Amino acid sequence: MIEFLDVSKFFGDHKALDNATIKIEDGTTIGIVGPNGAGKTTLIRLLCGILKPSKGQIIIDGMDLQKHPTEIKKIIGYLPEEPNLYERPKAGELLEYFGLLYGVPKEKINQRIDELLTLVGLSDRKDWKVSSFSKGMRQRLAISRALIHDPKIIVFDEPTMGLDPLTSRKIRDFIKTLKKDKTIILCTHYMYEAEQLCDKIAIIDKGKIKAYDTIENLKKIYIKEKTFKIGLKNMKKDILDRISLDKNLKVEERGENYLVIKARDYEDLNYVLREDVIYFEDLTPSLEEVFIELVGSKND
Amino acid sequence: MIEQMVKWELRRLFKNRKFKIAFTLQLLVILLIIPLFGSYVKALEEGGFFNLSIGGKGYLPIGISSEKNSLTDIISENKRFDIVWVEEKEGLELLRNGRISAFLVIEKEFEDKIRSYRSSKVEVYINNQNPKGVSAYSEINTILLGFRDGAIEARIRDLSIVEPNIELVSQSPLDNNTPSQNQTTQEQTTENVTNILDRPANFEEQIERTRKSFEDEQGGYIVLLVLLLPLFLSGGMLIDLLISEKERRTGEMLLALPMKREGIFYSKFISILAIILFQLLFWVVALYYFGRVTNPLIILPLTITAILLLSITGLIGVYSKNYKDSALIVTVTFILLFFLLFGTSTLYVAGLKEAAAISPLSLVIAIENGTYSLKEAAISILPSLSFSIILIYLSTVLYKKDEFYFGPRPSIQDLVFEFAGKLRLKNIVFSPYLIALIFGFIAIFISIIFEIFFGIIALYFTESIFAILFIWATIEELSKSIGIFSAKKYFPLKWHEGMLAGMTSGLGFALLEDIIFTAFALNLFPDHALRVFVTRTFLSGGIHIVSTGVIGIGISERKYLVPAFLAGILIHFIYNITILRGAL
Repeated sequence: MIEFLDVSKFFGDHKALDNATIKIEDGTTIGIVGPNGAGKTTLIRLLCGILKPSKGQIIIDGMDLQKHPTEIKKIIGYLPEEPNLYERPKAGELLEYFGLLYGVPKEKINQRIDELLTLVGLSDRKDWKVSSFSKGMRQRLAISRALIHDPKIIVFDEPTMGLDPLTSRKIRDFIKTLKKDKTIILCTHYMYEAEQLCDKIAIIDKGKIKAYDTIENLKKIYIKEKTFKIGLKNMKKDILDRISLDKNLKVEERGENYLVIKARDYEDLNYVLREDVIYFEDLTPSLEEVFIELVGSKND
Repeated sequence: MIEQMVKWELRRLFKNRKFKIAFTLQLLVILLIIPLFGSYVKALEEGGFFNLSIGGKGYLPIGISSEKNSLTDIISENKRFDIVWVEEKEGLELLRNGRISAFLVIEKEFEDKIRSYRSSKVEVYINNQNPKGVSAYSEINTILLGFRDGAIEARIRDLSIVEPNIELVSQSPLDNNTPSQNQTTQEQTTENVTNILDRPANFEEQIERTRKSFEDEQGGYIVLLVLLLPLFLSGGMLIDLLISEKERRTGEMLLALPMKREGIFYSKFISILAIILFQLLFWVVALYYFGRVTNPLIILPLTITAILLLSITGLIGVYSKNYKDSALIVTVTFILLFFLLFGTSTLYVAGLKEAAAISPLSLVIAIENGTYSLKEAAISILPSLSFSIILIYLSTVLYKKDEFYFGPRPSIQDLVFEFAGKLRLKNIVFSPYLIALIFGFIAIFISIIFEIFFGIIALYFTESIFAILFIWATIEELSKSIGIFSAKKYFPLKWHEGMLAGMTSGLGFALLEDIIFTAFALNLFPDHALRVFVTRTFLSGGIHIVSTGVIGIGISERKYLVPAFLAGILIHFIYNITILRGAL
């Protein structure tokens, strides 16, 4: 369990994180989303013990991070926004260095390096210098570095940022494989990525956590009406009249043989759906709409 | 874990091609320097003396009126001279016009007289208004002294009891009935070289003493010159290790490691220290092998100097945001350090051993000459080591602060404020005075640096002790005022609070100055140390408090800023003059 209790972080006069309180259960995947400069990276740097909180407490596995930083850092794997790799060493040497610093036994380190490099698809690049790696390869190597000590908690800061769609997908698929037995904190501003990978989402803006819940609940809370597009074989007058008189429904658009209707839920549409429906489409907004609802208008 | 990191850093450094080339070159420099300094020592041994004049081929145009002889041959060999062979009248004209910086008139029978061990005369004319004239005089004087000593030795070898005499005559061209518009030299007396009275006697004595000291201590001094090089060359490497992690952001991953932050700093510090020690060891062994080092124990004070240098560069590396930021600080610090370390060792060989003993480099010379004692070793090592430990501690304190990696970096004032804030005494109202007090301590170091710098400039241009005293009073008051400005940055000060802050800054300054003066007095005149302490505490201490208190009023009430500064400086200056007159 990871607990942020009223955590604030100041840089000079600037408040990068403002009284953040959040609880993350073991084995869940949490998405931290927010606009640029919202405080996402500050939050995860605090979690990794890279920054020290100006106020508040971070409790991980029952231990206070401020009091037991070394013990806690051993169970955290961190992938920063930029891979931040040393250029000169070979991929294998780099992983060995970090492995040893994280306390991986010397006799097991080579086996672990081979496993990880195979997992991220770099098994044939073990003896290549990091400087010769492409951006995607660097990111995959950085992921291996974050996992070298088999951490219980893995923190990814924008893992697919600036990568081509194919590499991004590979990385997302890889994260999915990790989900089984790890607690994952994923910082991203790609909403579909968060929706795809995360169990819960924390929306952060201007240093404050605006919302923290499952995606479904967030949608329920922040999206009051759903939007549906219904194609009808016959646009009967009596149906159209009934819809226009129904307080629970609102016609947004009317085509030759279709309607775009806003409703609180499916049930309100029951009598419409009993007609000759050619097609039905749920246009209900995604997480992105929730995000825009929460932070968009203020940041415009 | 630190061990792992040290291994990694060393491996990383030695895998860097540029570093490998630089490191190998540094090691090989010794092979170049040994014969170079060997020749230099030989030159010293053969009767020259340490000449600090500016070098450069043909830099000094001089005129000679003479037949070719053994003396002119030696002068011609000096590449710094651009020699014009002229008649006496023409030469004086050239000197007056500034075309030449010195003019020598050597009598026609010079060679015959010297060879028959009779007294001969060399007239040297210089233009005191021309800075090159001083250098030319210094060079010519060196040659004449060497020539004289050579002649004496030759005479002694011939078992003659009569000492040969060469007269050095320094005269103004005006004396030769040639009116001058340039007001050339005024040196007129004709004296024997062995007791030149055309300059103050004590000055000449000083030169002679220095020359002898250099000859006595030359072995240690040369060793010092050589061994100081790798220390300075390696200093920048620590900064590179620290700043490259910030610039490439690789340090973020190090901060995520399960180890204490200071451990990261220590690992980098130890890596570079290991490289320096290896280099020093190599150089000392090489010098020992070539017979230029007599006692390998010099590695101890050199290691202390290396630690001092690394602790300073480490602090700079931690404090700087990037390479650009560090470049200026490092350059200024290295220049100051170089002069400080060299200055103290030069003082040591010049005979002021008590004052210079504080530098570990003085101990290098003492060890080389076999004159060191345990007391001397302690005086040399302990202050540097303590200062280094303080700097290393400060570096780790700063390294632990998030702002030094993720910015915005706090200013020195902010850091002092934070420190003063932590030291609050029940009520926050004490904070401005704590800030002022701390900056008062810092002001003494700022003052010393600027006082030496501007003192030398003032002495060179004005030769007036009053000008120096005025400059010193101004520098000290300006330095102390930093404390009041800093306090005012965080707290709005009323006039009486500004005065109090000024007085506190003055108190901090006076306290540390007292300690420094008393420490010197204990070392140089132990019998008078108590008197120095009491006098300074009650007189200088009071003046520092009063003068800066006045300035504090001006800083808090801006409309009185200029008059308050003038008044504070004037009080200080008048006190300085009074003390000087009392001392005289």
